[in-house]
Amino acid sequence: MFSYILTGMRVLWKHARSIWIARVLSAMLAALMAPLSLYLLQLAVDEIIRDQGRSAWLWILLICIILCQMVSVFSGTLAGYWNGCLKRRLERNWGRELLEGFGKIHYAAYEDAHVQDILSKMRKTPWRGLASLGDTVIQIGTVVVMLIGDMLLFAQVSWVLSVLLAVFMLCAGFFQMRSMKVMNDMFANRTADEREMEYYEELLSEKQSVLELKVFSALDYIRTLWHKSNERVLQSRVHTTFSALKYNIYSSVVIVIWILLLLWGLADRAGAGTITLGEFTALVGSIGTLLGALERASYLCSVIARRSLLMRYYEEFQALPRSEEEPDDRLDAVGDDGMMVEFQHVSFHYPGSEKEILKDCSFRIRKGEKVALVGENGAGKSTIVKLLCGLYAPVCGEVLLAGKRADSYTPEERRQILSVVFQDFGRYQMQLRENVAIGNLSQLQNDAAIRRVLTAVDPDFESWKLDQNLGKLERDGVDLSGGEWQKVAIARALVSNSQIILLDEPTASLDPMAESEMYHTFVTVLQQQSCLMISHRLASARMTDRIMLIQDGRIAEEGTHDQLLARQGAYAAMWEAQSQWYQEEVHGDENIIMG
Amino acid sequence: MVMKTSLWGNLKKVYAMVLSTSPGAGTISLIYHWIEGMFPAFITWSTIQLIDEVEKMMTGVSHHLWFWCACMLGGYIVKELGVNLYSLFVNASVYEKVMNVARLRLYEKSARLPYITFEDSQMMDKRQRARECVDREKISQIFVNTSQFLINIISILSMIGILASYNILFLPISLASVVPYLIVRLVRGKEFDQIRKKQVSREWNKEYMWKTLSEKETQRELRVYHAQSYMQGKWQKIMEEVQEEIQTYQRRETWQLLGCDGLNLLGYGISMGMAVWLILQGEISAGTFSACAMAFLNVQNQVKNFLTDLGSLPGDIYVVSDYFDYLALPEETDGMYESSKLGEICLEKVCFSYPQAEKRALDDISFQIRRGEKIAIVGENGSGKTTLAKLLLKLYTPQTGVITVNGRDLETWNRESYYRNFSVVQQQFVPYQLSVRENVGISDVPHMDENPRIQACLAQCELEGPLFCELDQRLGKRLDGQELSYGQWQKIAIARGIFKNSEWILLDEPTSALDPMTEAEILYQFLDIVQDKTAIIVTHRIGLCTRMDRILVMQNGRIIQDGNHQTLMEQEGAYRTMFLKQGEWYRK
Repeated sequence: MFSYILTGMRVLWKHARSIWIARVLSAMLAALMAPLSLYLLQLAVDEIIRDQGRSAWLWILLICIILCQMVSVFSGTLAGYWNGCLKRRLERNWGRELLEGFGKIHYAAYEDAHVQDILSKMRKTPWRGLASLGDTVIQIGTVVVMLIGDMLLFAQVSWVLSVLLAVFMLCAGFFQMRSMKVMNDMFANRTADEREMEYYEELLSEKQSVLELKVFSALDYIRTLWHKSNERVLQSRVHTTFSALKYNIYSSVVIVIWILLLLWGLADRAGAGTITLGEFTALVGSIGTLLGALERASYLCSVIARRSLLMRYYEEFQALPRSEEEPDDRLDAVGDDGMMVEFQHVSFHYPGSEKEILKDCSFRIRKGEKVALVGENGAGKSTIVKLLCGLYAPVCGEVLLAGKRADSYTPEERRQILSVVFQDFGRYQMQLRENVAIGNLSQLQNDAAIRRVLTAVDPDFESWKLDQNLGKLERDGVDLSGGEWQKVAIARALVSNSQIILLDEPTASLDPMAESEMYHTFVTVLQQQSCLMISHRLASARMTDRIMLIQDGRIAEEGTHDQLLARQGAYAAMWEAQSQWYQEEVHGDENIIMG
Repeated sequence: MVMKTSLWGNLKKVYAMVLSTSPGAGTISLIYHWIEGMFPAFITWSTIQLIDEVEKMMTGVSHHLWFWCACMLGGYIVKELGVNLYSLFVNASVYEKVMNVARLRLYEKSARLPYITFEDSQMMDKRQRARECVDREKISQIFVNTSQFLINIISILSMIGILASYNILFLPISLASVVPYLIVRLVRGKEFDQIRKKQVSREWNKEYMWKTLSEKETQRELRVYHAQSYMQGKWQKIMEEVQEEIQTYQRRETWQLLGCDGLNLLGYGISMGMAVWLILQGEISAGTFSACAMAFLNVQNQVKNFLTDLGSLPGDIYVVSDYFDYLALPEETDGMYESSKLGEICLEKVCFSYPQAEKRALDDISFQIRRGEKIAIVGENGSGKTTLAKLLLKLYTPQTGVITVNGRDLETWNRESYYRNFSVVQQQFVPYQLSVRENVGISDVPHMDENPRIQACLAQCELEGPLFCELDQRLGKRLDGQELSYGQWQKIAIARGIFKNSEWILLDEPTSALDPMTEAEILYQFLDIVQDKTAIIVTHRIGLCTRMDRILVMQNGRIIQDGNHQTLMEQEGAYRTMFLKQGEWYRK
């Protein structure tokens, strides 16, 4: 835990130095004011007793007390302001560092579940968490300073009392902290029962599940399950609350004993005449503020562990592998120039997994050729896309684009050769123009080019304003349907004017009618480019020059539609399964179909 | 004014709920607050007595020093005792128990509301806020916070009382030093709200950009398109704009607060000055002087806290009002008519629109379904197929027109009785994170323990293998069970549908991409199931329609064609176009 706190301090030092220093200094100064005020009060009281207050000294002391109060109060108000500034400065500087980090992390990390966890913590505006951690550290520091100040105050009367103060405060503080920690842990951790309970609540309040449960008359069943979990959760929480109470009681006992000893010690000395009235006053007066500070400090100590967790995630984030900027220019593998895409004996498994997705996979795509890649779910189709995009490197074999290794291109060069429509393409809550031009930012202001690709995909886009905001983020934003988003994504790939287009399940979010229209669109729009279309809707395969079927990590069948049907292999079986629904009438009513 | 009445009304409801759920704890906490409120005044008073005794001792003799020490100690003991008891009761009862009950009522309510509420965005917002209210334990918080008021008020008044008992002038001065806070709070409050509203949408924008840039899909696309720096630049720009605004506002606010602090210091200074003057006149003792010095600060802090809490109270009560309003929403009504057989369902001129929608989802629908028929409802996305299905399932009520079943208005039917005759396989089926048995058997809970029947259904849906033999095995990774593939979840949903041995069944085809083999299997299973039942299948695969008795073609909320495959192909209408178009790529 301490190392995480140190990391946090380091980040604060690096990104928001001046504000952090101001905060620390003013907080420490303000912390000194409390014991100082008591000391001044002590002097004032002694002055009153001694001199009946004739001298101006009393008034000076009064002014000093007011000044102390001023420092304390102003510092408090400024602390609020500086906290805000700190958050903003962190957002600006640290946020930028993190963003760059997101961009540089090796893509493989994004697909790892553990990394997803780290990223989700970093995603939640981490500067707020860090500012809060910093604040906690400062406040604990002020309590320590105050305690030391009070100890000095006590020491002028008797060092025994001073040491007693420290010992008892630490003891009571320890118990209070334990108690709060127990409660905090209870709030932070979700037991299995609590997760179950949440799940049942979801079932009872989500549209789809309520429909089923209503029709099946099963709402009561779920309710009963909820009640059972609830009982268990409630019991365990009440139990935890009681065990926290135990520590509270210990702490109270320690505090009461301390007050007893203190008052006894003070009364004793008062009786013996070894203590001035002022000292007596100051020490008695300190009890209230000390107890308050103690409670505050215990609370802070109980949460600091949780708040510093953020830094652990940050450390792990920093440790993630980054991709190198420079393209690898070792001797390029020799590839045929006429081939746009070549896979040469590629084998691949995802990092951290033993399962080989691709095993000695080889194929080529010529310039201008349109090829369909079909296969079952999980056969490796999307993996091939990722390898072509340079997101991963093959474990064995070579992936070549236009004769050169795919990962030897700079990102800009590769963009000019290859564009992709991913299955889960981005639906950016920005302008229509931006959504399309992401594919080729140099065209961002080229209205004609953007409109051209949009209308090529769907003539209805003619009437759309390019500056129209999409999505519900802006007030005037328009939400597009699944099909419309799909068309925008295709326009995005087209605007880049690349030589190769990859389409990964481009009709997944379209209903069969719209899907059919989309295939017509592809035929007209993809004239000169090479195209690799991945789909398991075999209708898509009809409009391509060649079809490849991937099975067990390699290209099992290859050829034109008719050739593959003749082979009566896996492709033919898939084709039968999909087309049988439309064949029925061919035999019965041929003349109608032909009409 | 409207706000004020709802403020009181909701406050009363909160107290009613807490006191009815845990009367003992509620009462104890109120009593405790009274005691705790008096505590600072007690300490002030006993400090004065103690210091005065010491003074006397220094100038003469005193026998009462130990007594006053014991008094002060006693005070602290009572306080610590009180704090512990209070925290026990408050945490265990007021928080845990009350919030538990609040949560229960919320979820029970959700299931009793009319199904159409899910489509009403205002209602859904209200529900979301009610849920937040429960998650953030607002009800208990308000109870505790308003009780804190009591503490604050009592302690402020008692402190001022003690001070004033030594010199009446202390009274106006203490009060005057806190008025500036009130003023600033009122003025600042309004301005703050306005700025906040403007900023909220910009903040969303900024947070959206930040979140998107850290997501896997975005990163993938941006790297391929080399568009990272563009997006980062966008974030930067919005961030700087938003920060600029907030900075300006905060700076101004801080100056105002500092000014306020200055005024308070002035008040403090005057009070202290007065105390010094009084002590120089010999009118008060040293003990009183010291106690006053500490008391002034205390009072100022208390008033500051009091005003802060008062300021946030209306906001919190507003949140709670969502909760109580939600609980007061009208629930769905049910009819009384029961019957064990559905003979036919008739729709006559039925019209329906979704809440807050301009267009009608269903327009002038009329048709009949007789027992034993197998009907397909086809149409493009948005044609009204699913809406029609929901009306048939008595989930929505038509705005005009009537649905009669066995000749009686569906509204008069008893829901449970109607559902006994119906089963459903939804488009967006539910993957229950429960056991295999529950996943299949939940459609007919009383018979959920009949193992052979469950296994038969699983077998019919081709769900075999060791995973499905262990019926009490939990499925789904959310609660640490075994995860299934999408196709397997789909099949289990079908098994669930057939487990309930109902005569009528409604099947809604999955639109998500399944590979051709699995898709064909599922479609065959559908056809298999409907053999000896009355079936309504909602689909967009026209190819499936060739196996149905009757087809209803929908477009824009209307039924435009009705007949079997032969007849519809002969009519030169939408059906024929759709069939040819869908099948065009699949013909030889």
